[in-house]
Amino acid sequence: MKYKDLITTYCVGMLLWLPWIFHAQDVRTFKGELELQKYKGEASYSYLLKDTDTILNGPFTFNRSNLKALLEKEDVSFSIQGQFTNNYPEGNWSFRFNEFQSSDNNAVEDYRYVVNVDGNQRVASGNLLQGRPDGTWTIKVQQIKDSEVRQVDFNSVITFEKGVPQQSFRIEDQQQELVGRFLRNGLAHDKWTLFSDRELDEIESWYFDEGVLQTIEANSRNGSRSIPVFKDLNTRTEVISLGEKYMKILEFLLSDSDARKVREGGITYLLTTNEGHYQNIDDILSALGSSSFSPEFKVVVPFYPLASNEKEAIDTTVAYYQKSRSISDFLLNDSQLNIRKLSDQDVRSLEDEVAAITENILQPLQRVDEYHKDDILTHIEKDKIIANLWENGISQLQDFEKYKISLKGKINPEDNVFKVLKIISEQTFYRLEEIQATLQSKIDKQVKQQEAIALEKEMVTRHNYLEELGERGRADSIPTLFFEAIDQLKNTAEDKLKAYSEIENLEKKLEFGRTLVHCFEDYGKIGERVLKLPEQQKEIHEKYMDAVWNPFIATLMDEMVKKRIVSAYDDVLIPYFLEEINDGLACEEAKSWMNMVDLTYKQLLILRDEDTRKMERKLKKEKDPIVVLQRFKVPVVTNQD
Amino acid sequence: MIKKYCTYLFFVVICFFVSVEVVAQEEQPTESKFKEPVTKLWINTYGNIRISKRLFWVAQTHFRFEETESTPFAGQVGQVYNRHAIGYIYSKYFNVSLGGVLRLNFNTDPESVDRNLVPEWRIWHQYMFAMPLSSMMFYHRIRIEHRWTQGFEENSEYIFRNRWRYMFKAKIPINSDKFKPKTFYVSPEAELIMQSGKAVIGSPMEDLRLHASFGYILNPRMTVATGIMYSQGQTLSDASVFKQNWTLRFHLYFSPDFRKVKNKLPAIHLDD
Repeated sequence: MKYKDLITTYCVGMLLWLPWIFHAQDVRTFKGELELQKYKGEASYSYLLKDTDTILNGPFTFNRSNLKALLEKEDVSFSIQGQFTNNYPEGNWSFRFNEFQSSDNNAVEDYRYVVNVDGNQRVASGNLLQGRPDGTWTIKVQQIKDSEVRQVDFNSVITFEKGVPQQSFRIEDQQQELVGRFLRNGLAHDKWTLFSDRELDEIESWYFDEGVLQTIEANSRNGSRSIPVFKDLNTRTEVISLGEKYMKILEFLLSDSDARKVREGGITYLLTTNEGHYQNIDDILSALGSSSFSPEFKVVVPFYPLASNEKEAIDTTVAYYQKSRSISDFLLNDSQLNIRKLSDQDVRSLEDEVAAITENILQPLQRVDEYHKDDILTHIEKDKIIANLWENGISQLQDFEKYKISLKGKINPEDNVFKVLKIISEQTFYRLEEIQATLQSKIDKQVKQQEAIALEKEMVTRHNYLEELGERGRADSIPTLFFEAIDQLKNTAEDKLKAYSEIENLEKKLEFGRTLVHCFEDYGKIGERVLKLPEQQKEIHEKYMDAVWNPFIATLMDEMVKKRIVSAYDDVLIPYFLEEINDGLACEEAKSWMNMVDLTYKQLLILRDEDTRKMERKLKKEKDPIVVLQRFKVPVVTNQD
Repeated sequence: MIKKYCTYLFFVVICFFVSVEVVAQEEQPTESKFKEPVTKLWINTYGNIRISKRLFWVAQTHFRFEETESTPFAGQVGQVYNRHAIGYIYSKYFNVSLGGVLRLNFNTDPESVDRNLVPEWRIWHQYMFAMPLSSMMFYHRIRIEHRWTQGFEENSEYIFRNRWRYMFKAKIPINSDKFKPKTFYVSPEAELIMQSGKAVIGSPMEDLRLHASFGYILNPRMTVATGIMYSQGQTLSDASVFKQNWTLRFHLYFSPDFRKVKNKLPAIHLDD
């Protein structure tokens, strides 16, 4: 029995190992061309395949050098060496980036050519633990002359423990050197000092107390200046990295001149440069595996949490600001408006107003937008915001009245700053929108006037065409009543033109003008049809002629058949058609008139060959054109005018 | 075509003169005697009724009046004609007809004691040529009649004669460049009627009619005309005596076509 148990235990044990067995995959090796961001060269590394992911594991080398390029002109080479453990960079890593030219001092030693190089070299080396710096990291930028280091342009030595900077650090360039220290938790502490190679004394000192920057001291030949920063900080605080965000907070806090001093000072410069070098390396490591390679200098800043209504107010402010900005950008850059303002006083003053609003309201609001983007609104004192944006604080806001942005009654002195900003941005947006509408309507008006001119030209052309048709009618010597109808059509058009010219309202004028253009076009077509009527009449007469043999004269004689139909057309319908015109055919009736005339003509051609005896009987003595049209099955149109 | 007609005309005229010459030789009158002209009034209706594409029915009724002592022109009824025939349309410009005539002759001699009314029978055939020239129309008509007449005396015998008629006529439109409804026209006309037969001794020229009329085409089927005609001819009994007439004439021409439209349509063009 015991023996059996043993086998079972063994089997279960083996089954438990199965997942591991299936997962324990071969370590593979890659050797070949690799392109990584801007770097392209020969790489060699080991990796595992997990599902479809490549997990780097083992030594890693990636380098490039080209002797031919070096000899001909310049070689941009690099060498990266290290190792990965389970996709994390681990252990010793070294980075080298060169830009070398071959120097003139070359030699042949034994059986080899020794080519000396000139140029510069960036090197970084240190230890990594799970992708984070651990131990001392050194980054150097050196100038090389004849294959020897001639000068160090930059040097940074920082000690880390599991990514957290420790103890003291040193960052230097050619002219200056920054020395400082950290607490074990990475917070900046004590005095950070910048020495200059040219000056005996320190030129800039930042005094930290457990991450809180107390004072900045700047020394120059003109004397020293002490800038208080977060002295006596007794609010809630938060730890952030010493980086761009921290600089923005300082800029808000300090006066412009002090802020500039800090921004342009040596400490900021060295910190920023150092940050850049770390970022470069992090970019490479992150592209290969998982890493977080940064100096991670920690500082403490005040923290003013935002209530939800405040957050809302900020979002609204930013949204209004952005809309206002796009309106202002449009209005200030619109070429049509820029031309227009040269001749139009109103446009110019509105444009000036937009420029003033942009400068005095939108620019300050833009900073709020930036604070929001930089996420520093929780680190700056609310009460200082207004004064920071507008020199004279809240009282300055009353001046906006001159831009017709009235805040009276909308803002109270005790109001929350974000509510105030929201109202300002909102009112500014409304005002800009209003100005835009005014300017737009001016532009529109101009466009409309141009349209009116075009319409008028069109109308005159079409009116002239009617005149031309009348003359053509006279020249063709058609019966008087036809060209008189065309004359009447022209008179009707003239009456309408007169009515058009009497309209004051541009909008209504345009609307009427557009209908008139179509109307006159129809009148033209009607005129053409009137000119054609005698011809059609003749055609109908011919169609209704029948040749009859007269044996006494021995001649075929034409005789009109269905005389009642033809005479109804001649004596009732044609006069009716012309009368409709002479009574001042309305524009809306024009199309129906044409339709009626066309259809009548077509019907007459058709009726010739149809059995119309019944119709002819009914047509006897019929003088009413409406009835005749009905008999001819033509839809009836009556002039409503 | 015209040339043909002209030649034909020439022969007719030659025959006429030859005949006159012959008469002159046989008789020996010193001079011809012309009777006083008699005035007459003719009212003629000419029906030309289409019965098929090529055939038509000729139906003519003429009322002839003549003067009495008291009334010129229309004093008394002279003759009533009924002329019928079937015509054949050969082409637009040529047709022939054949038919019969019943003429009722009234005794117009006021002093006569004989019968007042006697019938006269004829068989007739005619050949009608039409010639368009410019806007005018010219016509040649040859009509040959075989007639049986009798005098007014009781129990008088029928005598048989042939009549040879040639008519030349023009129609000239006045208010139009062609013949069409509402056209006025003038029509000069000359007809020579010769006769032959046992009873005809020296008087072959029965009648020479010169007629000028003025017509109006109401529509293709109806035309009216009126005119004056002068005529003269030898009397049958005495070749040297010529009778003369002045006749007022009224004509009504009608040509109905009772065929159905579908039959009628192609016919109008005949073969032109």
